[in-house]
Amino acid sequence: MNEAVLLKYSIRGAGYGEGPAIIEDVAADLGEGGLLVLAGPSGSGKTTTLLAITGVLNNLLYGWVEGESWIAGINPLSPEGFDEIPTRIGAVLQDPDKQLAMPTPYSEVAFTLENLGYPEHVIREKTVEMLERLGLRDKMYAHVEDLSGGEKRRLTFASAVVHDPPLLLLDEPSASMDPWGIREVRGFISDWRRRGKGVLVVEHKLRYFLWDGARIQVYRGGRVVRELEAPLSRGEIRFLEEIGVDAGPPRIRRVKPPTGSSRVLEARGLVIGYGENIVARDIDLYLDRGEAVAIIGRNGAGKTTLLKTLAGGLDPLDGEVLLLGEKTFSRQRIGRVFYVPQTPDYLFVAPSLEGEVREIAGKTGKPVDWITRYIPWYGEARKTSPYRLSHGQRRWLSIIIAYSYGAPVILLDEPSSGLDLRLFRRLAGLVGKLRGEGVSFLISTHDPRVVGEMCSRAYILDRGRLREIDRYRAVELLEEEAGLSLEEA
Amino acid sequence: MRRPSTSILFIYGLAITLLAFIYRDPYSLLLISIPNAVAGIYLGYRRAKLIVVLLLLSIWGTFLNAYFLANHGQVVAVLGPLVIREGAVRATAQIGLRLLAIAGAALIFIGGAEPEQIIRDLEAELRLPKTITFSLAYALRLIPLLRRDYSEIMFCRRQRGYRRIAYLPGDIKTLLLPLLSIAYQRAIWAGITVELRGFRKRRPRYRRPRIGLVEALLLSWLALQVVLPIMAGWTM
Repeated sequence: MNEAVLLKYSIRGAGYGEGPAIIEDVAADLGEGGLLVLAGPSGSGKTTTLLAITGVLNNLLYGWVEGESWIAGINPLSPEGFDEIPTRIGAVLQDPDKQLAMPTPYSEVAFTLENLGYPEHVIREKTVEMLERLGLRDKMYAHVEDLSGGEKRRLTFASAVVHDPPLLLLDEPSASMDPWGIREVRGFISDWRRRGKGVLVVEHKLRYFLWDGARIQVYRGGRVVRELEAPLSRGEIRFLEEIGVDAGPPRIRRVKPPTGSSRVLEARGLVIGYGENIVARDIDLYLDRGEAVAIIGRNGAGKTTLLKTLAGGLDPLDGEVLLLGEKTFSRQRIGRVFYVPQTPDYLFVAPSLEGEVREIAGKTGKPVDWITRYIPWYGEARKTSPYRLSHGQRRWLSIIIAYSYGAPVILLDEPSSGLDLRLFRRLAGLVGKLRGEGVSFLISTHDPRVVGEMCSRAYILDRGRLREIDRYRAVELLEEEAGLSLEEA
Repeated sequence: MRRPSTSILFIYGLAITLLAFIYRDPYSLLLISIPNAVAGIYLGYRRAKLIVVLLLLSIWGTFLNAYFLANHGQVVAVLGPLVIREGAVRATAQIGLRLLAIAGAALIFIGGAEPEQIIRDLEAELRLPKTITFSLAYALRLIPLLRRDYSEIMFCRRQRGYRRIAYLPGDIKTLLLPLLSIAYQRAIWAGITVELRGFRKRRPRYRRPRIGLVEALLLSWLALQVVLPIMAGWTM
């Protein structure tokens, strides 16, 4: 095996347990400084490929893999090769909260080196150097929960590559990142490639990773259906978008604002925060019946705090919130201004979808048939645990729960996070339908697609102040901050 | 005063847990539960409020269990339709004191140990298997995440019209189900990540545990909790 080829695999089939093949006939190779992107809609087998070629599927998850995989001269499918694979790769997964295992940035980075048997003085030296390089030195003994989303993502990179592996594997690195964080991820990948390392990225937001010369394998139904190379032609972008891959620039559709609608929610001079800690002040905003409005801003700007305050989960530090024209106390808004969290799982209470629907019916008095009418896939998934539904289905269910409670206002926190383009458009369709029935939406988002395709107005929360922003400018800003421009994308 | 050695704190916590299972006499249980619970809440409450919440839930669950399965003997209290008898009170007290002692010891460990030292100290000084030391360190990493999950779930439950305080079995189920499902998913991915970061290659470097004044005081207090019930003639 040639050491210059960092990754070479040819998988005839792979699956979980003794189940059927999830992926079939996938193969690729990657050399020094190369970039390979596995793109495809959710559930097309991208992450399974990553788990299969690293040996995780057959060595850890009781799955099976038929075929070959070589990573920097090692066969990770064999137990002996799997033991050695951490010395050859750095792996960064979707959600930093699921990846960070230690309490402080220092211990998190040092953990990798300790595992690999480095001497103590080298561990100290390399850990501090890596934290310095990624701008985390000042926080090396802070608790990881006190880091921002972007800092957590940087920490996952630091702990994955502190031992200087030749190959970096990234599973949806843009997930849960704001555009500012995505720019950092892009910068890191470029830097890593310049140093002659190979990078494999699994992503459905392909447009963030389209450097010239990048190779793209398009997955669908567990197979590679097309191989492309950046830059992509218009036809290729159209093809990718049709199957659910976000490859082209965000669109700005004409979202019809409601005509002659009444005001449902209004905040005047609102000050939000926790105790003495003011997050944002002098917030004035309004929402009309049947309207969808976006709130954009960096991670940590206070978007979620604002939504929770409007929903009655937090008391405002000052100012007032009017619902249907009447001034309200926080507790009066609970359930009437319904907050749907970024992790929809928090909302579920029953062990099956059927049970969940029964619970909704019991609490709201709505007939079961009325509820299931809004869940087109209910029949096939009724016995499934809500926690085991697909990402898109869980989001869908969470919005239907909110709608079933008859809330005139639904607050969505990052509703498109983790959704491929196809699922996103279905969700946008659902929101559009509910808007037609008079429900208003206030949506916290980093996603230019949400602003451009779902909302008729936008606010930006920046440095503790909220102001209205032109929708086109909001989309442009989100693209710019991620390191793209609307034209370029 | 410096923090006590993680290893000695671990031994202390483990010993108290064992004593909680061994002792049956109410005085012996009182001796190990009240001081440890007070010290634990003082030292560890800020880091692990959730343990206190879970403890209260467990004691309530114990009472419900005892009410249905061991409610016999003399009547102690009548609360409307509820007739509480000696057996239910005795069973609740006995199990509740045990839980209190265990939770107290856990809180002392959480409050006293430096989280980032746990995995290293327990491996190097007590020669515990890395799977156990990592699980402990990861549990401490999970506590703030569980706390966040708990507060999100509680708010979502309120929006859905469930009680603010979950005290009936059905309520507790609607609280624990999402909490555990989310933690389970997180644990699977954390496991994959640490394996890809070479956890199975990890080889500890052994050293002797350090024992200074703080550790000596802690061990003496432990010894007292073992010896006192014997000297006083309390039945175990």
